[in-house]
Amino acid sequence: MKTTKKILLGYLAVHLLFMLIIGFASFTSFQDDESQAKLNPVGKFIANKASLFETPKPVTDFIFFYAKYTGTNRGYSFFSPNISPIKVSMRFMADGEEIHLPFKSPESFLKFRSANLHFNSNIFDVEEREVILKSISSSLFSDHQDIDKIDIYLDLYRFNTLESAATDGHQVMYKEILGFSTTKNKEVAMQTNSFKN
Amino acid sequence: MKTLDTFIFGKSASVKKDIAIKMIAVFAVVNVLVILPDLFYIFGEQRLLQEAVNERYVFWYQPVLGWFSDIFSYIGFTENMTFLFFLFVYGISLFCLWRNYKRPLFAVIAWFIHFMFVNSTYLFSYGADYFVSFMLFINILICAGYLFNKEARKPLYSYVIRFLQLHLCLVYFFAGIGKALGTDWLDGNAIWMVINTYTSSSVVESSIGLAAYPIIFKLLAWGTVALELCHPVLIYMKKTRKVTLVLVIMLHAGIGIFMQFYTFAVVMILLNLIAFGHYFNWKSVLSKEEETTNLALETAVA
Repeated sequence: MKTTKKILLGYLAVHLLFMLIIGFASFTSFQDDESQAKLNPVGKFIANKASLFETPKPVTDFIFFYAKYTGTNRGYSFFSPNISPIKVSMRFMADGEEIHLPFKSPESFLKFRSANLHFNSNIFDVEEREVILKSISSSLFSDHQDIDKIDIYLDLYRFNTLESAATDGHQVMYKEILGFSTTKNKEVAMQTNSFKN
Repeated sequence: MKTLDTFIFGKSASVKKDIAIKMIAVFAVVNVLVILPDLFYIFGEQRLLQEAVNERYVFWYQPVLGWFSDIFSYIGFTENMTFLFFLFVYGISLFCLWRNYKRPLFAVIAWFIHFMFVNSTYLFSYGADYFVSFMLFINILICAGYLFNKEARKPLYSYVIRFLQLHLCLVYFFAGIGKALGTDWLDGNAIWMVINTYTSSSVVESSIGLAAYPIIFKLLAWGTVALELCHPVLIYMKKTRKVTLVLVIMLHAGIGIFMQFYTFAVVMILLNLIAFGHYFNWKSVLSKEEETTNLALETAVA
């Protein structure tokens, strides 16, 4: 019995240790110059010390293996360290008409938003971008047999800060960007001219 | 050592095990029902993000539907049929959990299928899905108690509840510390940006007037960071634990109502109720037990 209890306590300790390592090690992503500029002095200190929690690759791999199986691999730094003032959403157009996503439930739209966030943060990764856009377009083309080309617009909203809103009022900068076009044969073209505007 | 033993294995009160399992099973069903009209666009052959996208993000050791649809194709099952088969088994497993039929077995099956569904839709999965996975993992630990005799079940359930409590403490601590690293949560800008980027236009409209009073946003931001950062201490102190639990539930309710993160809000409230719900004396859902002795587990395992 004592052995069983010891095993259970040991497992609890290992689980909590893994969570600490995942939690602190995730702050190493704030060590680059761009991220550091958005941190406060305490944040800079913690981000720079977070490397102490990095483990050798085989250990890291094992920790993430365990974490993936327990649903704990993504860390818990929600909405931090800051919140982006920019909101970007994808809009699909064909022959001047909007092609709506086939979802009906708000939860599904939320799921799509999660994918959209990933897309936005990897928008300049050509391979990643194309594989996602081809996949979405392929599904939309099969739902809308009559269309041959889909233009993907990015609706970009930039909100002014609280400080600015307190003095100048609420201001939203909106920009519509024709980002990409896809054709039925799954070619994806980046609308470079529009993107630069 | 004895104090630690009593703390982990000798918990005197908690939400009844049966009620905790049933709450988890019901929530897992609702979690599927909320995306029911769109299931094939998320998991089926018509899905928006197909396997070619998904396989970029999952490791070889993460089970996905594709593993089984390849095998099932030999008996003439399409991808949609394979998905429906697993969905059916998932439903049966949750029903068996509710009916207290072979709970340890069906807890594992339910967790595995949910885990596979999450892996199969990597980009569509967000924080809430991972917490549901974690909740189903905790459910396995809870149900594992049924493999032991009645004497041993109490200390084992106590262990699982402490496991969940301590895990939640780390969740909130890291949520708090992450926010404390930046500048937005210190100057109140975070709440302003959350309202603008995550809430409906009606919430934004009604918040615009409040921008003239930045202190409101600062207090909300500071309050959130302080609550999350100090959660591990406040939730265990006798004087503050009830109010801390209420504030945490209010925080998640707010996230659900205003940011429309319904699943995330409900799963977090549920986990908190299972872990700390006994702070409130709901007689019908609490199992008041005498402090279990080490001997109970000792006898059972022996």
